Amino acid sequence: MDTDELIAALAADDVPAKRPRLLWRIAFGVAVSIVLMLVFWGMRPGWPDVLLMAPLLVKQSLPILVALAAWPLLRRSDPDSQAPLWPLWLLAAGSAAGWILSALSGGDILGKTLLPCLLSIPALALPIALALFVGMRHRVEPRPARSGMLAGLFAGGAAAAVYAVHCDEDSAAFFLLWYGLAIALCGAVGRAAGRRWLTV
Amino acid sequence: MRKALEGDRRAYAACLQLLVPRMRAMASRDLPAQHAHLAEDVVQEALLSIHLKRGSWDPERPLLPWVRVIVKHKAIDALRKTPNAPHDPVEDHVGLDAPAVDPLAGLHIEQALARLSARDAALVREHAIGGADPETLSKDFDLSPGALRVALHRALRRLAEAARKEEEWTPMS
Repeated sequence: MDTDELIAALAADDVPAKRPRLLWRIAFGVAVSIVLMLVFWGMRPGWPDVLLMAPLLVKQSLPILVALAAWPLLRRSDPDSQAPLWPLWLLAAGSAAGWILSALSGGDILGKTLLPCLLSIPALALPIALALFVGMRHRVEPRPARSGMLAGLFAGGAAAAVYAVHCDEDSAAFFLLWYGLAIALCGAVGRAAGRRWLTV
Repeated sequence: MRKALEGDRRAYAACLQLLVPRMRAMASRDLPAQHAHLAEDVVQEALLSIHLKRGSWDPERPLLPWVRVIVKHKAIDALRKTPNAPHDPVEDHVGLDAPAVDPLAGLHIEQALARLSARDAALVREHAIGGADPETLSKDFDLSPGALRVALHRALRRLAEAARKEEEWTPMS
């Protein structure tokens, strides 16, 4: 088949082009994740009352910051543009420092819900990551692994913030470590998935 | 392209026709001389990608840089897939006239087509030859006009996927 014939076939396809619409897809994914959390996990008793207390505030906002740091890297109008990764490294370094401090001052590292935490965050990240990946499949991705990892980190961060509404472990030594690991796990899975599913 | 996104098919075909020579130039600049024969494959793969992802091009921005990125990465992919065996251009052999039209052009896409189901491949070919009107086509393929459009779209998506896949196509004996 020569190039002119290919063009004829392409021009005959008038199914409208799909737009990435990442923001809408993410909103949908996060909504699904919140509903799942409320139905299957349940809000921790008195969540709104303790929201403004220091540990919970940090637990709620840190993952959101991770998602916010990954967002500008995902959202770009020029496929080849590269945003620096340092905000993510900064967050990771800050959390690590915070974790060492709170672990040294005798915080409870293992907690009582270690396994549920490590499993729930990736599970809640799944709807967000799926929505993101569907959008990114309609987009030109010159660096699939990197984009996939960022999508995974974004989904993991958002899911951790959702899960924090349920989780009642308030020791910084617990949540900085295990939330961090769960988000990193999402990033690693996203990286593998990106290499597999995203293309130029 | 802007008109094309609004659904003007003729403008779309014209736009792709205009893009192709520039894409050829880009591709041959990206490919080292001994792999120059891959240029047309790169152009065709890039065309498929442009088609399937045109919704992500921001009409506020110039089109060519966007196309440039796609061609560049398709060229990189093509080189990665090609074993590093030296290509011995037939043009270098005295006594053999270099063919005016490269007989290998489009071989890659033929291989990709061969990996599709017979129906998908036939659908793409029928549209490629052009002139076939939707009425007869939908009778031939036993599809309603709406289903025909969707079937063509899916076939093209699978074609892009097949062209991208790394494994070499081996003919069944």
